[in-house]
Amino acid sequence: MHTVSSICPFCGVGCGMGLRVEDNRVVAVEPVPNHPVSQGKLCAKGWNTAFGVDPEQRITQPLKRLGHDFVPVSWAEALDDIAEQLRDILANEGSQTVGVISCARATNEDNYALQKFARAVLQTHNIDHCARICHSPSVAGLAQTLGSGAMTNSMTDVDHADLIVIWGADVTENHAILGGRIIQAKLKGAKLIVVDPRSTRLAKLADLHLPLHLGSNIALANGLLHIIFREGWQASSFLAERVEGLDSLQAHVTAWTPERVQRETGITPELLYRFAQMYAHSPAAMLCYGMGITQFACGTNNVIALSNLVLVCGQIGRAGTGINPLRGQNNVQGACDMGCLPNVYSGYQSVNDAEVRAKFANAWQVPQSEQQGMTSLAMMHAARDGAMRAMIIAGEDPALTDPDQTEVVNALKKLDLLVVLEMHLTATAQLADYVLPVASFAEKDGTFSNCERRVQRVRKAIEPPNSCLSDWQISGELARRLGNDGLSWQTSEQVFSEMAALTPIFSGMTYDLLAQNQGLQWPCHDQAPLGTPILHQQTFPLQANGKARVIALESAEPAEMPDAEYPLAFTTQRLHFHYGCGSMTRCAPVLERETPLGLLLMNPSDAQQYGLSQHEPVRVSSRRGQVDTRVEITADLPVGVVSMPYHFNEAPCNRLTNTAQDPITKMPELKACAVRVERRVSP
Amino acid sequence: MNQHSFYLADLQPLRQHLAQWGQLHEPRFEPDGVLRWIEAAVEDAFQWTDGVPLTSLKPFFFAERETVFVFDGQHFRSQLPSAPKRVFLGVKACDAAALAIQDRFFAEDSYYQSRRQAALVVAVDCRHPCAKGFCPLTQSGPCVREGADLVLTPAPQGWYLQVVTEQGQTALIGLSLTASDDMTVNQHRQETEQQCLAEFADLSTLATGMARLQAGQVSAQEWETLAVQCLSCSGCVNLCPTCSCFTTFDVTHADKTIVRERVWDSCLYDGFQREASDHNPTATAGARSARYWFHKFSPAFIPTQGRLGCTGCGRCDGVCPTIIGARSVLTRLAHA
Repeated sequence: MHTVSSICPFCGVGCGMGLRVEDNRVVAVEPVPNHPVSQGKLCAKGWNTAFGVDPEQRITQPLKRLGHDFVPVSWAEALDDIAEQLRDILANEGSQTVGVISCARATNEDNYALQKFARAVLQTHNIDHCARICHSPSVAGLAQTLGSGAMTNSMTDVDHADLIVIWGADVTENHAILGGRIIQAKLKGAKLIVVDPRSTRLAKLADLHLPLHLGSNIALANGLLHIIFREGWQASSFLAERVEGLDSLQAHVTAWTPERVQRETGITPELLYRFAQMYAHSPAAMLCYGMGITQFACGTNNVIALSNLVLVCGQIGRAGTGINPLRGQNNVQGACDMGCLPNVYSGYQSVNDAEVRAKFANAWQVPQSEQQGMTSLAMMHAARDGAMRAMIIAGEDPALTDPDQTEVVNALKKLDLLVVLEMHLTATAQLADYVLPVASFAEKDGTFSNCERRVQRVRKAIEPPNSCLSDWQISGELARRLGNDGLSWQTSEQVFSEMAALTPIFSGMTYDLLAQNQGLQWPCHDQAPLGTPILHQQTFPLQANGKARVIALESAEPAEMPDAEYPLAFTTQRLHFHYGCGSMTRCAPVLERETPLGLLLMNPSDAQQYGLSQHEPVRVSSRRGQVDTRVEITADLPVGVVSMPYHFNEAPCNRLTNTAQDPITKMPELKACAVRVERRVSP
Repeated sequence: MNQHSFYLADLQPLRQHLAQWGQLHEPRFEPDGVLRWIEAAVEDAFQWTDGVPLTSLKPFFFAERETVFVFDGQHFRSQLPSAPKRVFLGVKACDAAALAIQDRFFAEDSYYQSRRQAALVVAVDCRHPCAKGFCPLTQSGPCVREGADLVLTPAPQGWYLQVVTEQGQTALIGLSLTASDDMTVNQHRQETEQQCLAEFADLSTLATGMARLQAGQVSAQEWETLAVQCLSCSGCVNLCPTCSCFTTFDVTHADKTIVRERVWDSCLYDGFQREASDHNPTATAGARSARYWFHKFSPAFIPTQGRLGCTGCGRCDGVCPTIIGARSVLTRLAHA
């Protein structure tokens, strides 16, 4: 038995994890006491990691579709076939008809390779990943106000905050170790404010809980600003020096009286006032938010609304402050950083910038397309309409986790070629023409970037089962067959070095330095050789004058509100014990046992009104589809709102969710729609 | 047994001798800065380390995961693990006491016993309190009480060695040792313990909390308030040297072979005690927390466990994401 030091493969907190290896098998994991973020702790998901990477429940050989079945084939046959079909499609239909969806679970090296494969081999910017459905509004919103779309501060900053504001995030369930650290800070005397329609664990422990109406975030933020300006609590000298757009924002929020805010949000003027007072007066207030902000059709504006609040009170650029999007996956930050987005190369270098394109064309020795790339949802729509012919999907399960699944499944079925890189036969993999088995995080070297921008080393603990490869190796093999030898790296370190050389914010990082420093936070370059724990201390990277921007916003209701036909508001959530589509956590017997019998969470008074008792079978219907499950009665949900966790393919709640989109990022409105609940009579 | 007590000027001859008996394991700080049980090279001298390693000896005997049987469609096959002979040198009093509890719990468990019986436990007395431990509260240290084959005590120069079990006695055969008289060594150990106890921080708050718990004075509501913080991560259970709960699950392979595995479980999970009817005797987080801490601190378990369920090692305080390890819980209960 020996221990290999690595990083947890679940959420964006990026806890240190030791893999306990015996006979080329990860038998268990252990926490890492001296890890800067996790300090010797792990959550239930982390503790059960060994089951999720178990070869026994994995795909370990390439699979090829034959009618309704899959047959195992050799790597050579699978890769040759895929390359040939891609070559035909590229020749006959053009580069815009192919696309890649990369994986926020895979390493930075995998993601860099996949976007390079799209841009340098397929010659398209059709590259995206699931940040589209979690934090693309953070990237887009903060890009407009601050100039950078990641956590401005570090997770350890909760130790330095006098006030912690958690807005639309269920931290103890989804980022459990950070959630624990927040509880610790609260016990040590920090104040805690939670804004969430649901009574989350942190809400129960908070000094203030604001259970606002689902989706009324902008109204609440405007109301806070109204009070702050009225009372003269804004950070005047900070604003004068470092922020633009104040006058129009101040004029705009004059109309947002507490009474109007109460009508839109349900929050009383007294509660609103106390929040404004505490936030504006705290020496250091740290704001964190999650998908309760981003997964709305006004997601980008929601992010801007929070950014306005932070800037007006000057709660940024110092220890214990900032605006901090809590990212869902172990490496969703990294997938964004690596340029797995249609509009940017690695390090957020814009595709629209001719100089940037020229730089990559030169480095990769392949001309760079000037055509706009498609988002994942646009790719799905193009597939539905026949304009997308081939897709490579790495480790994502849009057939389960994307909104309006029926449409996603139909779109994927229309493709001429669907290649899925997976560990497990997920719902999406089942639709594939080829399924290529990939190595788990325990079977490869590489890096993950946690949500505080910390790039950390992941280390190979065991050999992959059978013939599983890393995504970067598969990219290289396919590229070579398509005539490009530029992806034929021998080690993950070579991939990282190529990326770092082309990416200014990573230019100071090497594998050795990452290991020596227990990870480094970007930007890391000559001016910041040990990385940057706190962004924006002096200036904002938004524009040449270094100033940030506040932007006046109108509030917007969710696109679909409850009505006579669909009388209940519907939202989605996660459970501490499960992760994403459940493909890893559901392999763990004790976690699987924690799956509640009922997956529709409902307030007791609603249950009473519908005459439902605990665990009674119900049918949940929206305008898009229906799901059968059982009811779980809980006072954590407000009256009139029901919720479902999205991990479970037996009750796929995204059959119900709305495809209404954020106009800027195309983020679907996963967090709010309207449903009807009926008792189901067992046949 | 014949001679009980010996004097060693240097540990090296003992280590060299025991390395012949089995693979030497000692706590060492690894390059990543974590103190773990590792296979020690006999030529590297023994290093005293304060505090306990990340894990106790539990995972060496009670496997985190192991196959119980395989059903091939016709026959059930089971195989006991082939256990290497191992010497664990440097086990602290708390972990040795925990081992004694595990030995009693798994007395009839052939998987546990096949590994355990191939192990020799050489424990050491602590001369100073460690940063997180509170062994005096639960009478499990600082000097070794039980669970060891051999006990080492730092002497003014060198070490005293006492033999506790026959296995310990047998393991020493062939090693030339300087005899010492039991009275001298026992007295030295008592003095060591008294000095160490005097250095301990005040544990009276913890004692107050424990007394309230033992007297049943903690209300169900108090437990619920505390347990809002419990995420059911199972970290305390996993690192607890005395927790021994497990569950089994079956994996069906493509060839229809069924493998039954045994894995660690945690009574802090909702599903742990949920019955087939869906009734759950400990349906709330508070009820589960109460049960867990009763199991650690109630004397009601002494008849079966042989001692309190907590050995005061302090690991749960370090691993709990939300600060409700033993020390924190007892402190909170004391201030109620």
